[in-house]
Amino acid sequence: MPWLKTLQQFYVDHIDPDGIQPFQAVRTVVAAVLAILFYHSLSWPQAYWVLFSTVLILQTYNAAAPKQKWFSLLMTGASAVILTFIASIIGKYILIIGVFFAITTFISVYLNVISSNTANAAFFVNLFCLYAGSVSVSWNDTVERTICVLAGFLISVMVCACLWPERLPDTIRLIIAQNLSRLSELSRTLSERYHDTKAIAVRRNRFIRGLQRARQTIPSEEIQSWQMIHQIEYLYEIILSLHEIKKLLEAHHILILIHKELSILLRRLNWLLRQFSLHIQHTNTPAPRISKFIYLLRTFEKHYNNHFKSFNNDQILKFIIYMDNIQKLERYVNNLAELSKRMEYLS
Amino acid sequence: MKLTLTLNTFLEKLRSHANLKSLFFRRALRSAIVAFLSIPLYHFFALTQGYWVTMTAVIVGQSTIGATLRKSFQRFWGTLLGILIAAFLLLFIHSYLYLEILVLVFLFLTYFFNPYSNLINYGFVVIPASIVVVLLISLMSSEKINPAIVYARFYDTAIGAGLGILGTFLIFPNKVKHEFAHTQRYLEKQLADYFFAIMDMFLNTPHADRQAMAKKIHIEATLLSEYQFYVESKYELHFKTSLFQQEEKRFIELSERTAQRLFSLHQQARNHMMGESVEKLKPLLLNIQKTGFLYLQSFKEKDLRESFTGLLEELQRYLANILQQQDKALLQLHWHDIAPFAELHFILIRLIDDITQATDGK
Repeated sequence: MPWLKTLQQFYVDHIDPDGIQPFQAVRTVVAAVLAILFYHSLSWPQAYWVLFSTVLILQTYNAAAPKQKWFSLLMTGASAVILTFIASIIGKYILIIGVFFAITTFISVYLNVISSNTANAAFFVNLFCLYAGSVSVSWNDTVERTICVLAGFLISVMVCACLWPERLPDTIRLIIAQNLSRLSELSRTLSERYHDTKAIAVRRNRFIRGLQRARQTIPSEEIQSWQMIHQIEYLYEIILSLHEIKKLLEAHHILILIHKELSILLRRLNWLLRQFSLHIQHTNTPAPRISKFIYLLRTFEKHYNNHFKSFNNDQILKFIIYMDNIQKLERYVNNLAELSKRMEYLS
Repeated sequence: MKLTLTLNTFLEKLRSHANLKSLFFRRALRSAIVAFLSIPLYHFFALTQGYWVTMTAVIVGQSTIGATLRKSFQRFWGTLLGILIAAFLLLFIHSYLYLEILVLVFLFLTYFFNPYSNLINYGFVVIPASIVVVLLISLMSSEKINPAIVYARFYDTAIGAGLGILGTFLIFPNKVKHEFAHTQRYLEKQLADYFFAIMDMFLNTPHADRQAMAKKIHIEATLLSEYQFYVESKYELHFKTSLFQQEEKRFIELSERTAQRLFSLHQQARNHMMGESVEKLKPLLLNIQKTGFLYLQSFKEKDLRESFTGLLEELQRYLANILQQQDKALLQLHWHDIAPFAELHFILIRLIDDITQATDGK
């Protein structure tokens, strides 16, 4: 069904490029169900705070960077419990709660200096202050409310620990696999829809964002994973080179045979990248065999070398930068195959 | 030890921005003042669910006027649509069980549309979130849902958005052009760093290759995020956007060309590291000289210019030595050409001037 494919593509392009939001949404809903069941069993007037705190605290886990998820969740939960208690006590003094909320707002916005994720977590804590301080309540209600926030915090910790707990090795594996498949997709778009600049820009931007995310997520100790990212970056440049050559060949209406070989080579490279991505993501998928690609590469080089003598000076100058890159393609693809075998250590 | 280091880095970052020139600091101060003012305001007028005013005012208050107007508009229509849908549902559904199921469904939708990204229109994120809030109130609060509450939610949002907009205009206002100029300076520095990293590759500095690649990706990501300024500036400029739109297209083209030029240098640097022939060094040296000289012209900061000149001279000596060792004549270098760097910089300056003139109404 083409419309379903278009819808799916729209979702990936504009809403969820990382493919993690359905998990986050399900996790939130499960936590909310537990919170609803819990607050029904309490029958306290302030019991709805359980649901409120569960949903909000859980979001800091969803939003945080993989390395900081648990730290962020625990800090947000603890801050929420303390600040709800304080804001509930001072809620009856309008000016004091005004100043208090102004200070927490200042902190939550200023934390953007460090990172937007930290600021997000602080903003969620700020909402606890705002709601707790908006209506003046009795001492009993304050205690009930604080206990409910604590319960919500515990529910969110429990759900995060049980439902798709995000382990760093899994995240790294996923990020690497995503980058490989995005590179393959970019290359395919460059080959098949080279006039559609918007489609190319969307895929290129998604790939760049993915690389940036990888750089922010993978710890420096993970040398093998870093090497993998470097190989992907080198391959990105080489793929751009291949497409530059393709454009040159088309623009000058020369060397039809080389052009044809290049198209085949690119198709095989795209396939190879996609297969590597699948292999890294799902270990039960066998690793692709690179021998056919190497054979195609050598055939292409042979054709190129045969025709090199017929190039004029202008053509030599234009081709030479890119062709040097292609000569390194074999090495990089071999490295990629070797590294993808070693990625098994991450499981 | 590691924790202390991280903490020190955080504190250093916070300290470095603690002045009125920093956009982060200005925005934080503005948000704090708006938050402070909104609390007595809703208490004084005894607004139903008045905390919604404060929350809206804090959320819509962005770093620039254009960004605030954009977010306010999106939040306003998102909330309006959300509460209308929720009110419509509440007219027919009275069972607590069904309401709880609906809350779960809309919670799923709220987090299905990532609320932390600007990939989609913020209004779409607010629709399910508003529905959840209205349904939650009807479930939990002693105030049962009625038309008055729906109406209150609507005017609370309007007042909050209005307060946020007023705050952005009156308290430490920042226009898009300020932030644009700020990030351009940052981008200029990044481009310089990238150029230095490429030069390091020629000088065979260890790990220069990886550093250059990291910088390249960083620059591409920065250029990517800069696109928001064009969108936000339209909210500030109103009808005077045509000029800006033309420049936008040119700017993007030039950015691409600059990236291409750097990319070409990058490729050549890598080839050089692999041990290339003298024949290939000639056009390479010429390319570095051309790009470097024109890039040099575009630097405003003296320190950067001096270190850049020093690096170029060192590089020239290094490459000339290689050529001499192989009994080749030194190249006659040409210092004239229009490189994308100079042109890009020129365009950027003109662009900022144009925005200034358009916004000042000259």
